[in-house]
Amino acid sequence: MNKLHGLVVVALVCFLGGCGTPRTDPEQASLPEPVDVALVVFQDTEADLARLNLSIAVFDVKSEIENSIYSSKIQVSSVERRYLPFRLKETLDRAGFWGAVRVMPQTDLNSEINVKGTVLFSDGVELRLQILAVDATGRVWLDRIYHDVTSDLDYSTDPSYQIDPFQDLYNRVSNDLSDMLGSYTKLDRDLLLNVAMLKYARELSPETFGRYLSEDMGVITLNGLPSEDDPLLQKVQRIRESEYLFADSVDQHYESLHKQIGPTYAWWRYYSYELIEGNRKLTKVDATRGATRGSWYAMERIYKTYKESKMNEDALRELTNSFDRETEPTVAELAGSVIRLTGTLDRQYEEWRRLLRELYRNETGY
Amino acid sequence: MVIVRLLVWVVLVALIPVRVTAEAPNRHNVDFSGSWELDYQLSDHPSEKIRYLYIQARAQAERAAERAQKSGRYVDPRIFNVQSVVGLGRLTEKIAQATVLTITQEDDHIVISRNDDFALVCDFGEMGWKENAIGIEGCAWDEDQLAFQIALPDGLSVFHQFSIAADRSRINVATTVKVSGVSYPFTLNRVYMPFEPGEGMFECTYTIANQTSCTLSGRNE
Repeated sequence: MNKLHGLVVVALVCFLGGCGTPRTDPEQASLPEPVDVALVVFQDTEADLARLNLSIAVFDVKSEIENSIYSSKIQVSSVERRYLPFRLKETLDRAGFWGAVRVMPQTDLNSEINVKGTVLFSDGVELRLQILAVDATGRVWLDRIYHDVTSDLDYSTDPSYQIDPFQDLYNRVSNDLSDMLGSYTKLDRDLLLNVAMLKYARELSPETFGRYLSEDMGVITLNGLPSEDDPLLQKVQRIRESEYLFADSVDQHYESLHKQIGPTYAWWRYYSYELIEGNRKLTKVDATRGATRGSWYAMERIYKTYKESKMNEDALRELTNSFDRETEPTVAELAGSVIRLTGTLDRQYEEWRRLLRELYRNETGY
Repeated sequence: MVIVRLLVWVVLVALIPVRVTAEAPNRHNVDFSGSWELDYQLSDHPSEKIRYLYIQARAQAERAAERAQKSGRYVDPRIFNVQSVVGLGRLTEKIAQATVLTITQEDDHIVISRNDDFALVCDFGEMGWKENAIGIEGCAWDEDQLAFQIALPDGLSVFHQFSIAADRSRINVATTVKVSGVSYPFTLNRVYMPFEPGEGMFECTYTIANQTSCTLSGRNE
């Protein structure tokens, strides 16, 4: 009796808990139909307005499988968090509403708009991103979950990294951001430019520039502006220019990463889609495939169907492991020093900022 | 619908022989890793085992029928289902067909790759039942043995139990197949011995974009 009770508990726990299959999407059964979204592009009528710079920090990844042997998926995630922001950057560039659009290792102090994202779910069939966009004053432009699903049509040809099956999602984010931008007057934009510049100056010298800004619960108010010929401000502006060059270099690294791993990632997504869809179809077929139930032939068919599904899983695991092998950290030269793109770019970025502060202090004595 | 699914699960799980117990991950520090090939000499020979069990089952059925006849009762010979020994044996033979095992084992997981078959994978940190596209599966330590269980539709269940000799000279894989309606399971013991995979003329690398590409003596072919 105890044994039976135990079995019921096991079955119930598995049933309620899902028992950890490789694809753990809780919304798997209720995926909405994909929707085509056209990208809204810049019109000349707004040409006289100041362009705002927008930075996208590498995405965070929400992983539910960190302790699993399926951790090869984590390797894919570590690429996705750098790769997907670049897809968004490309879309924003194409939309044409912005000044410089850059991918950065973390939130960029130098930028008027900062976009942060979290990869909630990604497997080639579905992509779900949480996007947060905040301007220099701390005002939230977007805080939304974006979701797109692919269909056979998206994978009807050999995958190309230049054609993204989730392009509709990036288009939606871009359209929402440009919608928000459209509500900003010239005055609003000038305010953002000034606040961004003073935030940068405050970072270098809080003693000198802190008084121009006040902050209340994350919202920044501009109290005043230093004189344009203020020598300290001019030094800040010079350093800020070099910061832009650094940011462009960093952005180029993400671009080369994108070019380097793009084809591999596109293939991974293509196979992942095929394998997941294949297994989904298997769950719908009669495992006996028409054989008389209870016969040995039927048993063999059932086992064969199971074996096929497991071999699909093996292929997926091999693909993700292979993905890991093919996307090892890039060693590159940046500002005269050799850096590794993975992980250490963050530290490099921190080091760069520390050097800039030091440079400012050496030049000004503050 | 939920109740029906729950019942299916209960039935599936109940059909599996409950021989494993939840244990701390690999507390005996057993290491299966390496390359292993079938030792034909020490392994069960499927046809011989099927023949032996068939003869045994038939003799048992005849004795039972004889006893029943003596006591004046009629017994339908089909209940002994002697033919199912052959069916079950042939199915087990197919399931335990691997002749080469390539095992990679880390502190937290093991992957047992089998030639022409799917890999048996166990995540020591998550050793519960897992739902597969077709059935459910699980793995567990049973003292120093590692067990894999698979429950499939129509009452088909498969059980692989891995054990290794203390001197690492052999691995035994006992594969048991059970089907609801057949009272006896069929077990095949397959013994594997270590071997060093030779370095072939080709060095092959699997990449996603190029699939498998091979080089000969370090040159692209």
